[in-house]
Amino acid sequence: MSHTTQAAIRAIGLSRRFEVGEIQIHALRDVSLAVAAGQFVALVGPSGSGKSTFLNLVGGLDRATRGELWIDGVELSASKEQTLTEHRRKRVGFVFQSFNLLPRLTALENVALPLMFRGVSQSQRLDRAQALLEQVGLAGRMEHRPTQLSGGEQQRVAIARALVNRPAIVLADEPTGNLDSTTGGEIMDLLRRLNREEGVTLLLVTHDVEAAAFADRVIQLRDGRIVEPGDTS
Amino acid sequence: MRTRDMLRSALGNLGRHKARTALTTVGVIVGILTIVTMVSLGIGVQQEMLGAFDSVGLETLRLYPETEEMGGFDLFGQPQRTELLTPELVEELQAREDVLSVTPYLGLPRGVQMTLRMDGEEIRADASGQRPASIPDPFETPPETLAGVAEPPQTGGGLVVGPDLLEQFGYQPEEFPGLIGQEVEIVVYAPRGESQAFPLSIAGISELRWSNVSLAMPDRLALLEWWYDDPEYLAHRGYDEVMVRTESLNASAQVADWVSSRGFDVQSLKTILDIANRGMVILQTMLGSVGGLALLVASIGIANTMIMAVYERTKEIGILKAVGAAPGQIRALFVVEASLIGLLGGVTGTILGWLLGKGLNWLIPKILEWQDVPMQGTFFVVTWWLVLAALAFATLVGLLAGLYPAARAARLAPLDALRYE
Repeated sequence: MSHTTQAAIRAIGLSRRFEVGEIQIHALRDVSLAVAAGQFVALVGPSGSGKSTFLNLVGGLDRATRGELWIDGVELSASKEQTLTEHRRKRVGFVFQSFNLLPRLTALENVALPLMFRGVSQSQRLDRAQALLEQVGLAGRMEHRPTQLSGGEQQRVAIARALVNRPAIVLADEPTGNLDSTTGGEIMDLLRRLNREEGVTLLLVTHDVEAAAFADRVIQLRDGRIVEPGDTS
Repeated sequence: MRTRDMLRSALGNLGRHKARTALTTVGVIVGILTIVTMVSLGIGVQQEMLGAFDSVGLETLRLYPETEEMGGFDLFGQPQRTELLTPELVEELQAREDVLSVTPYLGLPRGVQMTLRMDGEEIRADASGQRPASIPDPFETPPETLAGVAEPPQTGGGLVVGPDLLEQFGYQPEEFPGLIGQEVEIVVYAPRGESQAFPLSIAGISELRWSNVSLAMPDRLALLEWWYDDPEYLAHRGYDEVMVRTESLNASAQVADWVSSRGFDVQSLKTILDIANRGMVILQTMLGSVGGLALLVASIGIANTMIMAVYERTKEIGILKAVGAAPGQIRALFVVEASLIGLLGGVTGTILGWLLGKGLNWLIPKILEWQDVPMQGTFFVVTWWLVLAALAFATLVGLLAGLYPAARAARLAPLDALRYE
């Protein structure tokens, strides 16, 4: 399909419904949107508006109930688990609010971890991880464990880990949520820089107006629907 | 994912909970220890038995007189014999080309009261139990010769005595060589009140226990003829046992057929060995099963530990899935971890089982010696195939126990796992 190759992300009538006992929750209702490759997009909206749900669908952590979701020419909604694993491994990198680093591993090992599942040799893994940690400004903290690092440093490690597989898309879910405003600003600077320098498509979910201000385009969601699609240019 | 990374990761995870890993391993250790000890006992006993049979030779047949089943007893309390092992039969057997040697044996009934008279002194002796070296008991080590000959001369007139008996007469071991050729008498007392002295000379001194003495066939026959008051004893009762050594296993089977067609009771060592072998297999299986049961319990322990590990590491599993771990890789990580618990227990259990066997190999002969049972041998033998089988089995038990927890870990939805606290 030609239209899928132009956009990095294309959602067509995407819905996600959860069932909690008898109650049905419509987390996402009939969302259609396209994100161009290399664009920095912020998804904003109140809690329960469906922004994280959308992010998780794009990340292949969850499947849509209805609709189509095309990422780099691959449709995810009807995909097998194997396709989703491949997708998570090759096309996307995650940055979480709570960092989600493995506490028993050093910063270097945490960054190198995703490459292990691709069968990359240990020396190559560590070389690549080292280069990324230098890029995010943690050259001197490589052998530290997460508990020995500040929140900002942990998030830098997480960003380096998200980039280790050279993904086309980085998905950041409230990356500044656990950080003070100064550190949060530094992290946003870093993400913006990576978006510009590496050309990765950046999808940011945030409550934080200041963080959203770094984006090229801000999409507003409410009750699972897009209320403001932002500047699509 | 590389095998090295998988092993390193699994070892790292096991190392994080050393106490838990060690405790889980204990079950496997006990199971493998039991299996290795029991099976090595089976192997050891089997080897000892085979060795014992080998020393006698499988080409050997033992013939016994046929006795009447549910039949009567003679005047002396012995079962009535319907087919006798007569000297004529012995001659017939000797005439066969496939027969190498024929050794008849006459036992003395237990309870025959006799003494050894020496230097005018009489001390109770017993000639009933001692078998000649030509018909050895495969489960006993032949006694060691201290002086003179090991066996009384087949022509009769000589006897072999033990050191215990001689010491009762007041002789010291260094005086034994000087006693060879000394004239003595065996005095037999019949319940009817009569007694008879049989003059003999000491032909040898060997490690016979207690008051045992060894007499040659002519003297045994003379003793029996007097005891039963029957000068035609052999014609009336025949020999008690005839050992026939044939030239081959095949010949032994043919002779056995020929003899049993004549109505005799035949035991060939090969049939005994076959039965014994089957018995050993059953014994080994039973003993091995005890360890198997312990391993079954151990596998439940491993499964329990792994299920706990899956719960504890749910969030970690979510992270691994988010960064690209496939369900199969998650499954493999947990299966390898469970298998390593099995292998670890297997290695420890095998080493302990081997050490226990070594210890018992040293201890059992000491106890037997102390209990005055002259038996030697290696009872526990750990072979290389036993080691390999034990390790493989332990690893397999771990692997099987890990399958279910690993499948649970692999099935976890990444999003639910990530949100798990």
